[in-house]
This record gives sequence, structure tokens and C-alpha cells, in this order.
Amino acid sequence: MYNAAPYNATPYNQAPAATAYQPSWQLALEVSASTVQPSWPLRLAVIDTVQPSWQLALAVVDPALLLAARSHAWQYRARLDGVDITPLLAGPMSASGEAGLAAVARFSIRPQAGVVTPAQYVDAEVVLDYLWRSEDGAVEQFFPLFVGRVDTVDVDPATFKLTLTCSDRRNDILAAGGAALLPGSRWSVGVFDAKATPLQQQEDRISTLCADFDLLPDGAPALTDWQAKVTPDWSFGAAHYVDGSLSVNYAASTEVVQRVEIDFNFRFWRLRLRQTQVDFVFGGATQMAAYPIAPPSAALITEALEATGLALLDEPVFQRLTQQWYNLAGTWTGYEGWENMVLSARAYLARRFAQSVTEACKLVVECGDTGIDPRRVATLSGALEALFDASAWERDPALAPVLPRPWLATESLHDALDDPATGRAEYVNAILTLLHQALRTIRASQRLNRVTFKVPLNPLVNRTHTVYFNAAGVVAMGKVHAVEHVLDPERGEAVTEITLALSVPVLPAPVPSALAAPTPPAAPAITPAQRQAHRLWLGVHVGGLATSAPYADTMQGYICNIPSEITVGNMITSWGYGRMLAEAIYGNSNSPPYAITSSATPSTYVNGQIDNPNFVAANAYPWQFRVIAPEVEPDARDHLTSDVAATYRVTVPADLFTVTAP
Amino acid sequence: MPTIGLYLDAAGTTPATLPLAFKQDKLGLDAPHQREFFAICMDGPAEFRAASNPGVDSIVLSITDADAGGGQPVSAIKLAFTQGGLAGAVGGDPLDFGPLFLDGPANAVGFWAEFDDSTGVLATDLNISIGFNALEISIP
Repeated sequence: MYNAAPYNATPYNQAPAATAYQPSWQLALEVSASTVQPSWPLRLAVIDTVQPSWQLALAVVDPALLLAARSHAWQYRARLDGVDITPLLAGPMSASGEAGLAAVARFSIRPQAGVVTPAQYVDAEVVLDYLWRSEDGAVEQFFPLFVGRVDTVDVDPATFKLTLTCSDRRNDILAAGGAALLPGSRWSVGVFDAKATPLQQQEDRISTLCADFDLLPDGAPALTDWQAKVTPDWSFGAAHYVDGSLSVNYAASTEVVQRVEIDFNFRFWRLRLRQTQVDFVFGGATQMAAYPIAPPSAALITEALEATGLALLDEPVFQRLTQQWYNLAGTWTGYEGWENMVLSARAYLARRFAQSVTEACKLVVECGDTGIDPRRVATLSGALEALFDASAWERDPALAPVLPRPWLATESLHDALDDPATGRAEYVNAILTLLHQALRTIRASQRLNRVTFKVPLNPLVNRTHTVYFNAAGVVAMGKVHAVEHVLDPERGEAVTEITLALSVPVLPAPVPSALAAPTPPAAPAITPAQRQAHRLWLGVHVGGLATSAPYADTMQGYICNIPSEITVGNMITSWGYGRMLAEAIYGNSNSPPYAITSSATPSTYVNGQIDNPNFVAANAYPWQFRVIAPEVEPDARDHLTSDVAATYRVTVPADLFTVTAP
Repeated sequence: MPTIGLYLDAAGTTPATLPLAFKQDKLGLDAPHQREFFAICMDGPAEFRAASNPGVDSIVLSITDADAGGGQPVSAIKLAFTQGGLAGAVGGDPLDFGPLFLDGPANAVGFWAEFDDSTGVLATDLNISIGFNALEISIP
């Protein structure tokens, strides 16, 4: 409160009256059902209309005319990013392609006067055409020789000529095309690098095919088998090829491969469930009455089974002590808790463990039954590991896979090969990949023979074709390996150089083998000795007797002692030993009489506990029920290497190829 | 302006060179020339619908002849979505692409075209084209 005037006086320093004004306004809150259905119409922005169309060039050609004409009018045409630059062309133009590689083209232009920016040409789309005109001039047809883009531009400062080197888009299409572009090819993570570039992965796939991937002159992709066709696409003879252009080359012997040796390691986990059957028999009345000793309890046995560290496959089965047995033993034994005592028991223990296994595959692929030159050997290798967390599986019995109970088989097995990316299926894929790689390696090395010749420019022949050649003593028919078109207006020359790849086997053809993965080795079978070791027959070891064997840690079963005290009733103790013997009151032991309290007769009777005269404390065992689980033998536990070997025979095609000296 | 282009691969790395070149030998000894193309819009985002009735009418690839009665007839060209489908296709018939075409290589539509000459005349005909009906472009 303020202490200064006017706040320290009425009315400011007075509390408000009880009837002070308290304004309020009543609210009317109504909840009613809504029938509104909100919606918001969409409006897509329509920005334009188009009507895409593409012109076709439908050419009906006469290949015979192309082959027959030794001289005819021709032109070449070059387009750069759709613009016809033919008037700028200067000098020869070449377009060449080798099987399995990008085609290359090279030509020069003399740009128009003014500032030149060579960099503007890099990556430009290039189309090179060959214009063929019939001898009567009535027909003109353009044929594509090359489609691609400019890679490099070289400038000649002396002449201001720009030389453009171009390549087609083979690698781009291959890298982007995926496995669908290469039907029949294989790829495996056990053989190739999964981190490789897409192009390299595609080349890896091609390495499993006896085929080439390249582009047609119009840019369309083509996968062509090496096998020459039965009917050639083109036939050339003396009338067709350019004199002096013929060359024949045989493969060097050092390049030939006759055998491929394959090393492949496949590592995986073998999951095992080893069962131990435990049987215990107490011995019945003999044990109970003679010594006497009480049978073990079910709880004691169960505790011992669990102490092995193995899993109980199910609840043990017990034969329990019945009233009949109890009475048979005599009431003076007086076992407390006899209802839980057991005369026999059966239980099944299981050990779950994993063993690492390596299948070491050594495969051989050969092109002949005999005569393999040991110097002509190539090698391939690979490795695969089936992914599986064996440690986690061993620790957790509920973790899949849960192996079935082996029952009489003693052991259940399961090889952890179910992972689709690294399991048995991928192993088969990897082996087949290597086998097909080997096949390509052998066949490629034996088709390095070449026949090369030139013909007047033929724009129709390409790397997918099979060509027959017969001239100058050389007869050959094989797949086109390379085509090079050269057009030189200054020299008036337009020629096509064709190179054939000819397969010539170096050994007699063997009987071919099917290229299939070898059968994996079976897991070693459990032996009778191992099965026997996993059957435990347990009995009773009685200690405290004079005849008891020395205690050993290897004892298993019910390990107990005769009682050190026995309960007696109305036992006469005043007689001497001899009298006791005669009266058969107390056994026939040679122990001294007990509790002679007086020499009076009649006898003194004792009721209660007396020392057992048969009990020898030095021979007493530590009372227990023990189960010693059998160890798994090293062969089933340690790393296992299984050898796999197989030999395959493959054939090498024999193309028509003869050279006859005149 | 987004448009639909023709490419030689489904990834759209290689545009088809124009004119689309087909050839067949005069005697008809070679099999009809078959080529595969991929219709892709590489400069999206864009949606294409038939301008005649967007979303209802189909986008249709047709064969047209600028010089009907001369050179090659439209029936020399067959269109199909698969190479195997060419055998049952009728020469000159259009190809139905459905009511909607979306941009990007993921939505590329591949088709096959076949040229089978019946004239036996040595020549190159540049009057035949393939093309879509008028399409409305929308930006989604």
C-alpha cells in the first residue's frame, strides 16, 4: 500500500465492501452436428500443349550394288548437335569400332573465320553419315556410320584445323542398362567387387559370356555371340577386296590358354544339436535294505542335470519310491521325504553348438582330354562367406533355426546356408560365374587369329555380322572383330577395313562337361563310438565301506555313503559280543559291542541312534548326484576344411580358316 | 518446355538419332528391321494427357505419311510394346499409351518399331513419321 496522500486515506485505504460490483456475462455453449464436407478443388497448371513426332528414314538398299560398285559417287556428312557441318569438313574422316569396345570416330573441320572456341565442341552430339549414290545417279541414300559425341578437340595452329575425336555411348548405355542388357550373364559377390562402378560391374558380367557388347552404327545396343553364324551376312571374294590389303595373323602361342584353375573357398557355419541320454537306476531293495542308503530325490537329480550346463530337452522322467518299496526297506530305515525319492530316472540333455566349415573348391576347366601344356594355364579365384551369427545362436536356444530333436540319431545338423545373398544358392551362382569366366578365357585366347582386308566402303557391315572371305588362298568365315570406315575425299578413297576373329582350337575337341557346381561334401556321420559316448548309464557309488573304492572326480551317478549312524530299537547292549553274535541281535560284524552299560543281565536295551560299525569315515564320499556331460570331439568342434575337386572339359569352336599356298 | 523424347536406352542416356533410320534389302532376304525405342520426358516435372479429353482419352503413337500414295505406305511400319508383339501387330496401327504419361526414366515406356518393305524399290523414304496426338502438359 502507498503511505502517502491520497492513498493513505479513505477511500483508497479501505477494503472493498462485500457488495462490490462483480460483472459477469452468461455464456451459451451449443454443440451441434456438422454436415459440412470440406473439399478443396485442385487446379493443375496447364502450361502448354505439345505433339512430339519423329521422322523415319526408311531405306530399301541393294547390298549387291554396294559390293559390286568399285567406284561410284559418294559423300560424307557430319552433323554436330543437329547442325550440318559438312561444308566445314577438311581431310579424311574415319569411324572405327572394335568388338566389345566403344566405337571411335575422327574427323577435322576448318572453322569459319573469327574467334574459335574449341571447348564448345566437346560433348556435342555427332552423327556421321555416308551418302551413297547409284551409278546412274537415280538413287541417293544416307547410311549412318557413327553416332556419338565429341571427346577431345585438337587444334593445329599452323592450319587452324580442329580435329575432333569422338566415341559412341556404348559405356553409358552399358552402365545404365543393368543385367537386362546382358541376358545369360552372371555376377556374384563371391567373385566380383560389389563396390565397383556400374560400368565395371557390367564388364564383369560380360566376362562370363562368350559374346561382345557394342553399338550398331545407328546407336542401338547389340550383344553378339562369338559363334559365327551358319550362313554369313556377307561374302567377299577376289572381286571385292582391295588388292594388297589382305593380312593374316595367327595367335601367339604364349597368348593361348588351355586350362583355367579355379580356387574358391566357401565358408559357413554348421549348426549342431548333440543329444545326451542319461539313465539312472538306483538298485532297489538291495541298496535300501542292505547298507542301508536312501535313494536320491528327484530334485537332486534335476539339479545335477542342470549343473551340466546343457539344456534339458524336456522334464526328466522319474520312477518314484512307492509305499511298497518303502515298507520293503523296513520301518527302521525311516526315510524322511521318501515320497520324492527316485528309483530310476531318464533325461535328455542337449548341447547346441556351431562348427565353422570351409569348402575348399579346386576346379579345373580344360579344352582337351590330353596334351594340356602346363605353361598355358590361367587362374581364377573367389571366396564367399555365408552370413550367420553363430555366437548368438549358441547362446540363445530359442533363436532360429531351432533344430529338431535327434532321438536315436544322437545329433541333428543344419548348415546355415539360408541367406539368399551369401548362402548355398549364391555359392552355386559364384561357381557357375567362375566356370563361365573360365570358358570365356579359354575361348577368347583361341580366337586371336585375324584376317584383315579392305573393301570399297560398305556402310552396312557391322560388328554383329558374320563374314565369309575367299581370296588369295585364304578361306575364312568368322564374326567381325573390327570395322573401320575411312573416307578421304582428297584421295578419292572410301574404304572399309574388316577384321575377322577366327576361332582355331589348339587341341582335339574333348567330350564337353556340363558346367554345373560340384555336389557339396556331406557332413561326416556320427560314429558308433560317439553315439555310445552320449549314452550315460548311471548307478550308485557307495562310500564309507571298508571296501569302497577311492573317491574320484570321474565318478558320476548317485555318490553316497552308508549311514555313519543307524537307528535301533530294543537293541540289547549288555551282552558281550559273542552272546550278541549267538543271539543274532546285531549282525555279524567284528566291531566291538556298543553301549555296554552294565554287566547285568538281562540285557540293556537301546532305542535310538548308534554309530554304524560298518562305517569307515576315511572312505566316505562327498554326498551328491553328479552328471558329467560328454565333451564334443574336436572333429565336430574345430574348424573343418572339406576339399572339393572337379574337372570340366569345354570345347573351342572351329571357324572355317584355311590358308593354301599356291 | 518439357516434352517427350525418344531414346535408345531406358535410362535416357542416348537420344535416338533423327531421322530414325531403318533399312531392308531390296530382295527382302533380310528379316524386317526391328528397333527398340524408349519414350521418356527427361526435362520434368511434367504430366502429359491427351489434349482432346485430358485424363480420359488415350495418348496414342501413330504413324503418318506426308506423301500418302507415294513411297512407303504406313502399313510398312508396325508398332508394339514388346519385340514378340510385333508378330501380331498390324502394319500402320497406332500404339495406345494410356491416358497419362509421367516424366523421368522411371516412367520410360519402351516400344518396338519394325520396317518391312514390300515395294522392292531401291530408295529412301523420308515421308513417314511416328508421333503422339496433341498432349497437354501439366506441372504437378
